[in-house]
Amino acid sequence: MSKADQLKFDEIILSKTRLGIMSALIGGDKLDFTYLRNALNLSDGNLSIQIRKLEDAGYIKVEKKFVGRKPKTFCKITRKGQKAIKNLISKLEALMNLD
Amino acid sequence: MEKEDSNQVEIKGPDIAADDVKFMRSVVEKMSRQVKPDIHIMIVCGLTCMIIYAVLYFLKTHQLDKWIWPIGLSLTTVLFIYGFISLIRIAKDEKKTGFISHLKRQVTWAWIFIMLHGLAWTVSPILSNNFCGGDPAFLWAMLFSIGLVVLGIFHSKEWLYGGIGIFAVMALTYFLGNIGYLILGLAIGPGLIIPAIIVQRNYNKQEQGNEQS
Repeated sequence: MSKADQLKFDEIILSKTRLGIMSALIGGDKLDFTYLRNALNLSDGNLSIQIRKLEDAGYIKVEKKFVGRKPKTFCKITRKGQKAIKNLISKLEALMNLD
Repeated sequence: MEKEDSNQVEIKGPDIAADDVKFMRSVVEKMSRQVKPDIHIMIVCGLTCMIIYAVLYFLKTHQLDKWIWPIGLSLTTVLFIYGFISLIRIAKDEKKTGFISHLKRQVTWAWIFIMLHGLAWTVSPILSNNFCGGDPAFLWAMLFSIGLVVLGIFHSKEWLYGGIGIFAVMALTYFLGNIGYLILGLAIGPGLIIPAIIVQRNYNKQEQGNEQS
């Protein structure tokens, strides 16, 4: 793999918002929409869009369930998502080690 | 062009990469700090164990061995029922707060598995006339010690100290005769309760710190 190829990044998780979502989920926790919104200081609309993009890429799984009588949307990282973010971390570290 | 390549973008500068790593680290750290300890199970367990072992000591010294199993099994059953109900409530609360901790679930399942071993040992006289393999009092001490070490490795070192303490006392009391049961109960109780209180206090401090920042 050439140096240029090594340093190409996955744009799906490269945006700061999506990076924040993936980082919050990287431990394997299931976090609901409200929790993520408050933890990452995002608006409802922005978070919805970013979650949809990550779900379409197969990086997170979204489950809708009822808790009491309230509907809640839970997000959890997939194996593909874990691989993608670990890959990103390696590339970022490689980049920081470059002169 | 392969689908994988279509998601790739060009390289970033090292400073921006360092910012990204710092950002990720702060988010990951924030998430890992927010696992609520739910120590009430440990406190009830610790107190119940102290009672069970004190009762065991009393029954042994007054040669009332025939009562050991029924009383021990009854108190263990009550503890299991309390634990079961507590775990269901904790799971419901987690869903309400919107944060279902993967780590907490893993450690809980490890504990459930460890405790089921103890329960199986305790009920074994139903099938045979004796406890299979030896004194369940020391088995339970061993299981608590192992459980606390697991908790200490994955969550907080205070649990580890509790587990090591129980193991040390268990090793020392094995040869002390009946008084050993009383001492073991006095080790298991605090071995569970003291780390629980310290962990809860640390969590409360952390939450106060988070609110202020």
